[in-house]
Amino acid sequence: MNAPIIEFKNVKKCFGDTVIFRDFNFKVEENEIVSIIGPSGSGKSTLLRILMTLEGIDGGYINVAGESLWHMPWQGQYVPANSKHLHKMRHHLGMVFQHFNLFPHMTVKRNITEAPMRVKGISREEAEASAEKLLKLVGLSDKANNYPNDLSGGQKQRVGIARALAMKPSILLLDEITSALDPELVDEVLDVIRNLVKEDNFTMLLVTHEMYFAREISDRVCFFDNGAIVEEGPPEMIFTQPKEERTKAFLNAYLGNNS
Amino acid sequence: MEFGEIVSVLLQGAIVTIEIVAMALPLAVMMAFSFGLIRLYAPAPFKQIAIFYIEFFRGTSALIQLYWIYFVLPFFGITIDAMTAAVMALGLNIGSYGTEVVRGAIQAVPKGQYEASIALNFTASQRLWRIIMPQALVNMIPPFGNLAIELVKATSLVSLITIGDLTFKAKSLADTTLQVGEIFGVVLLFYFVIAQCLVFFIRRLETHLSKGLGRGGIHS
Repeated sequence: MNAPIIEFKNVKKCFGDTVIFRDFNFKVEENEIVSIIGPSGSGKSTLLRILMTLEGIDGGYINVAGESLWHMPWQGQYVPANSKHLHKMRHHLGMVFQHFNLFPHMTVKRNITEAPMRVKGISREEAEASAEKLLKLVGLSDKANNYPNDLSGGQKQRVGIARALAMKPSILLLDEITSALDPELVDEVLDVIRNLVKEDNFTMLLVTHEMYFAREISDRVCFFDNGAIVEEGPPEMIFTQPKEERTKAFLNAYLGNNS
Repeated sequence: MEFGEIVSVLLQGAIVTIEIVAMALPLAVMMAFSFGLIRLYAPAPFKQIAIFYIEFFRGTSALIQLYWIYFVLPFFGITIDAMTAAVMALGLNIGSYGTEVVRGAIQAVPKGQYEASIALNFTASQRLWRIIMPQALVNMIPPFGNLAIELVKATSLVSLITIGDLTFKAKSLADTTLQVGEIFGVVLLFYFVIAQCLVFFIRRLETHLSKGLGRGGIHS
C-alpha cells in the first residue's frame, strides 16, 4: 500500500485555553472519500482548516502527499514552514466553503479563471476554456458573465466548487458546503459532487450534516466528538451498526430512531 | 461695488481654493493609503511611526500645524512658500484621518474573502491588491467623500498665511466695501458648489467601483 496522502501525527491544536485536538492521529489514503460527521464544536471544520493552512497547529506533524505541511526541512531539522513552503503545499489542496466566499467584485468566469491565471500562470485562453468546461460540469454555462450576487445560494456554491476545481487540486476539502443553503437547493450542489466522483478520482475530505449523502458517497465515515475520532469505518457499518454509544446517540438525534 | 465685480474677484479666490484642494487631496489620499497599509501590515517600528503620524496630525489643530509649517520651520532653516505649506498641512492633516478610513475599510472585508484567497493560493500581495482592496475601496469611498468635503472647508485656514483664497478675497473685499451680505452670500455658494462637484465625482466613482458588489452607488 502507498503512503497515505494525508497523515496527522500527534497533532495538537488549541484556541486560547480551549483544546481542540490533544493528540490527534488521522490518515487518508489516495483517492479515498472520507466523510466527517459529528456535533458542532467537535473539531470537524478545524481539521479541514488546518489542512488548508487557514489555521496553524500547536504540536505534532501533518504530512500531505509525502511532505510535511506545517514544517519544512532546514539544516537537517524540521522548522515551522515559511510562506514559500505553504504556497508550495497548497497546490495539493482545494477547498469549498460553507459560505461560498466567492469574490463579489468578479464575474463568475473571473472567479474561476483568476487563480489559475495569477497563481499558476496559465494563459487567459486556456483558463477560460477550462472555466467553460467547469461551468458546464456544474450546470452554469449561462451564468459566466453574471456577478455572484445575481446567483442563488445553490448556484453560488456550484461556482465555489468550479473555482476550487480550476486549480486542479489532488485533495478536495468540502466544509459543510450545503449547510448555508435552503433545503430545496441542497441536491443541486450534492449532484455536482456525485457526478464529480463518478467521473474522476479524487481524494476528498468532507465535513457534512447530510447523513444520507455521507452514507452514499463515502468510502469511510468518521464520527468526531471532542476533537477525537470516536468511531470510523465503512458507511454501512457506521450508519447501521454503530458500536459506540455516542455515535448511536448522535445518529439517532439526526436521523430519528429508525436507523 | 458692482455685484459682477465682486463675483469676479471672488472667482479668482475660488480658483486658488480649488488649486489647493486639487493638490492637497492627492497628498491626503497618498498618505492615507501608505500609512494605512503600514499601520496594518508593516513590522512594529514602522507601525509606531504610522501611529505617531496619525495621532499627531489628528490630535492637534490644523491651523497650528499650518502655522508651524509656514512660520516656525523657517527658524530651523526650512523655508517653504505659502502654497506648499498650505498643501502640506492640509494634505497631512486630512491624510491622518484617511489612514483610519483605509485601515477600517480593509478590516471590514469579510474574513471569508481572505480565506478563499489563501485557499486559492494567491500570494500575500495578490490577496491584498486583487481580492481585498477592490472590495475595501468601495467601503472607503463614502468616508473619503466626507474627508474631501472637510478638506474644501479647511482650505479657508490658508487665508491666515497670506494666500489669496476664497476666504481671503472675501475678507478683504468685505473690509473695503462693507457689502458683507452679497460677498459672504457668494462665498457660501462657491464653497457649496465646489463641495457638490466633489460629491458628484465621488458618487460616480462609487457606482463604478461597486459593480457586482450589490451595494453602494446611488440609484434613484
